[in-house]
Amino acid sequence: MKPLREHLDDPDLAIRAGAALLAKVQPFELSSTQRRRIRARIDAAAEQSRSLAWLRPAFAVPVLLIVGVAGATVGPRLYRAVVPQNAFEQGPAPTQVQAPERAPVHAPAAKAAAPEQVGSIAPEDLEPEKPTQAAPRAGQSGPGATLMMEALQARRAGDTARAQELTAEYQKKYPNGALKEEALAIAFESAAARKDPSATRLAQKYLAAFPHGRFSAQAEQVLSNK
Amino acid sequence: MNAMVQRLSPLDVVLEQHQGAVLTFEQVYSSSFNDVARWIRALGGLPADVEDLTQEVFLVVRRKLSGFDGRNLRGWLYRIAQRTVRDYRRRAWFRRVFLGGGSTPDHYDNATADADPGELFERKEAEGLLHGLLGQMSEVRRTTFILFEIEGYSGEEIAEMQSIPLNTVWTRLHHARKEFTRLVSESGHAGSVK
Repeated sequence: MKPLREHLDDPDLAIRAGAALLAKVQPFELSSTQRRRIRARIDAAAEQSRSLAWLRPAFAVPVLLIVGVAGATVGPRLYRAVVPQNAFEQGPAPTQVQAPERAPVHAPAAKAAAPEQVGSIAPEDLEPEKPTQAAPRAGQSGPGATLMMEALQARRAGDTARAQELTAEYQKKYPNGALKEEALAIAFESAAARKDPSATRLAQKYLAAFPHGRFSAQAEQVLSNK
Repeated sequence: MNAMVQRLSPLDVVLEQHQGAVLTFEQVYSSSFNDVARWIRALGGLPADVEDLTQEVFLVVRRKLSGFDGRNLRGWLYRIAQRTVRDYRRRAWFRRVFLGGGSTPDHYDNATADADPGELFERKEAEGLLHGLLGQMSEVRRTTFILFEIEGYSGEEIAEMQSIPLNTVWTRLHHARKEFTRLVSESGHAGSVK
């Protein structure tokens, strides 16, 4: 088939006009400068991907390992910290409902499991519970855990005084809190980092409370360095 | 020397020399660079973006060449170019619709810097008009038309690169020509031709 641009002498006027139009247009071609530029960019991109190629396995594997180990270490701690703390922070809430014909029932649990039974509970017993159906859930990240997280962050940031202050506050507020061990550990460790003389006392306090605790080695080290 | 041999492109030469052998990126790049740029333009890539798109195509080629089965290099390259242009048009549409990007001249612009100003102007005029007419055709017909009528590929080459039967190319071209001449006569341009 002959290209249309060669039909310049076609009897059909429209074909002739189309041919004339096409004859004015040249095939597309990039200049040598453009060629060189593209080539340089392709080479640069290839070089870049080659120089970063080693990073893929070498970088991804350690990152995945660190994330996995950190998750496995922190996860259970956080979980353990949250659940009992929640129970503790509920405080002496009057949740025990003494029904004459029934065994004692945990009011929130009873409410959650069988709301229709609420009617059989005395209104004055329910009164303090009313404000929050979701109260236990909100308490999961309660002030105790928050205090400890803040203390931990302060310790990480190097603000040992603040860390010690927060752990002291925690111990004062929650003398039997679930994070007591961690609070004591952060306290003696922060004090030791500041070369505070109270470090020895705090380490001794820790060892007295947790003779086989997870941080007993550190506590003994503080005592041996005194 | 017959017409077909005269038209043998560097890509054909490489394909003939390396039948069944593994092609290197250098061979593909040096033999098909011009073709890829022309396909991109024919597929609707704007002149300002042909550079970027050609680069994108060859980056894909470099990445995927090891997985190429060696059967139809021209078709393989054409499909990569086609996908790249399609993605680019989608992005351009997104930019235009959601980010309010300005319009870019979309002429079939291939004017050389050293051309005579009068000739340049005339060519620009023709390119502008041609672009307007081609823009009214369907993508499939337009691409085939441009590849044959402007870029000078043969029907066989187009069939190979588009991986379609030769008769389909002729059918598309036949309809595209009919539509093109109709559009030319409707545009009033035919009246200016002696």
